[in-house]
Amino acid sequence: MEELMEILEDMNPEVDYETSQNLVDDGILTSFELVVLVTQISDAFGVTIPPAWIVPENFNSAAAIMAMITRLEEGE
Amino acid sequence: MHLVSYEFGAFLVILVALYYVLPGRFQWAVLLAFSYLFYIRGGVIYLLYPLITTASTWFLARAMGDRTLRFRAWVKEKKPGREEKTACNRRVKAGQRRLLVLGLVLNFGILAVLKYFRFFLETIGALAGLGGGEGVWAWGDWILPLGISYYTFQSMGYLIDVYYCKYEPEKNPARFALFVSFFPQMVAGPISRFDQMREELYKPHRFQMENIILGARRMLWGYFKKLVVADRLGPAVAVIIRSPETYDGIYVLLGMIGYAIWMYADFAGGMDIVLGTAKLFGVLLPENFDRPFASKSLGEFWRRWHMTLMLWLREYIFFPVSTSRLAKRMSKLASKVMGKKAAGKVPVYIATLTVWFVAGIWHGASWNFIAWGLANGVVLLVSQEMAGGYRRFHAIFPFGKTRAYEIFQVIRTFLMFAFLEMFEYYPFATVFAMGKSLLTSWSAGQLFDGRAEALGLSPADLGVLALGVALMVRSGFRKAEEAEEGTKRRSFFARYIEVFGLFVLVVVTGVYGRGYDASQFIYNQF
Repeated sequence: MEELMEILEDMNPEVDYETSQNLVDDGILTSFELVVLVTQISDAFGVTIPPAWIVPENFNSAAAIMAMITRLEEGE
Repeated sequence: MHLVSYEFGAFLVILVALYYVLPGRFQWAVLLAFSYLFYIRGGVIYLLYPLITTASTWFLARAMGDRTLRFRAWVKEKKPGREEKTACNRRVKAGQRRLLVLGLVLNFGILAVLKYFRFFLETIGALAGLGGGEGVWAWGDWILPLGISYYTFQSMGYLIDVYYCKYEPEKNPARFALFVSFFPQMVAGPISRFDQMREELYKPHRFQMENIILGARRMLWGYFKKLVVADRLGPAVAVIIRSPETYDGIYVLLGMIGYAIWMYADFAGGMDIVLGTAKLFGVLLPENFDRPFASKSLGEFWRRWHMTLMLWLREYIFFPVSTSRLAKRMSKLASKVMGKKAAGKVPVYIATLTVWFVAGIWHGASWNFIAWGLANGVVLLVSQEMAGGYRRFHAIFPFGKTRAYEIFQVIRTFLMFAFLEMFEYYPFATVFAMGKSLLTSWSAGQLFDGRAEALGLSPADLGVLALGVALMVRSGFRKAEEAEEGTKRRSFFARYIEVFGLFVLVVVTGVYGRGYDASQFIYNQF
């Protein structure tokens, strides 16, 4: 989780990622930032995020992103 | 059959009556039959292409779905180990990928041949120095079915979704045919997703007077935008943008603003008619506009204008391209030169320019549209790069949240959109020449030097246009749902007055038969 928070805070330090629950729906994470985030997560965690997984439900909060990474690591 | 015709009115009256008289389980079948009837009024040959798309997409999606079901049944029965399951899943996916590619190649191939073949020939001819005058490449012209870009994109979205197992494929080919061919949306969108529409199209709908009133109200607003504003403004704007050598200076600005308003009135008006028509049958289609001219940045604007196309491009091109192996490889190569952090943005650059190239060519087979698309892509990427700087600037000078600054942002976004539209209607080099002319040689006096009179707008026309634009601005800052809620709150009598008033307004102030084909919408040609 720490590694993920570092990546997120590096993208935009002004956002409170601990509490934000609608990062995509509120437009805090735009399409551009989502793609940069996907690339950085892939590099940092060694997982491949399929395009079909890039949906608001998986990126609306830090917890949701972490849950998605865990699912990918488990090979779902 | 055009959306602005008596024939369409009669068609709707008969269909609405039949739709609500028949038992609910037959309603979708009636919609399908009438959708095909609507389509073949232009010629039976036109139906051939949507039928090929419908049949191929349905069959391939079913074949993919069957493979998934067989795989799941095998897992349930055999309970294989993780490695065996993964290996089998890979084989299934490889087979499904072949079916997906077949569907994409076939359907986008049809679109490419019908819409882009002549453009392709002309480009190759020009590169080879063959030249040729008007008509040399005419044999590359094909009959272009109405709405081919819309129904092809919608169908291919369905096929890709089934490939990614987002939902089960439709079993009944006739029901699927309605999803591809539902007549209000077939010609100019909105481009819908199957999981959004399944329930809407197939469930029985009881007759509700509210749906008729709200549908008619929405349609009339659409006719107002189209017939009162777009069709009055269009010919005048066309004069300006087709004669850049005559209409320079301040007319460049008038052309820019006029063209933006014309496009909006024509397209958003068309969408109001489409969504209102669907509402008559109790069917909710997705919105295509969300008050785009209230946007504070170009990125936001493109999330609020032609939303269903933009969502399609984001979901099926932007994300797949940016996460593709090629984009990753390019990023890795770039990291050796520009460092890891900057190289991480390479996939975004590749995907953005790909999306805007496709958006450009989707709008038309010409270099103008490609230039327009790529210009938008470049501006968006530059804005993205400047976002951090903006944040730091506003942290130091916190006027960014004032009302005045928000208004400045809205005007800036509108002018940026209008400026970029110039790539659509002027040749590439002319855009910059006209931009220069606007900045260096304009004066208010140019409005009274006789050129304005040739635009064909009388003082009465200007008055009606001002009223029309004012009404559009008023409604343009209100969500469509809020406007509907407003109507619902009114009394029964007041609702009828509103609809009747709109009808009279359209009849009295609409433009009919000025040597201009009122029935055609700009966005139909896409």
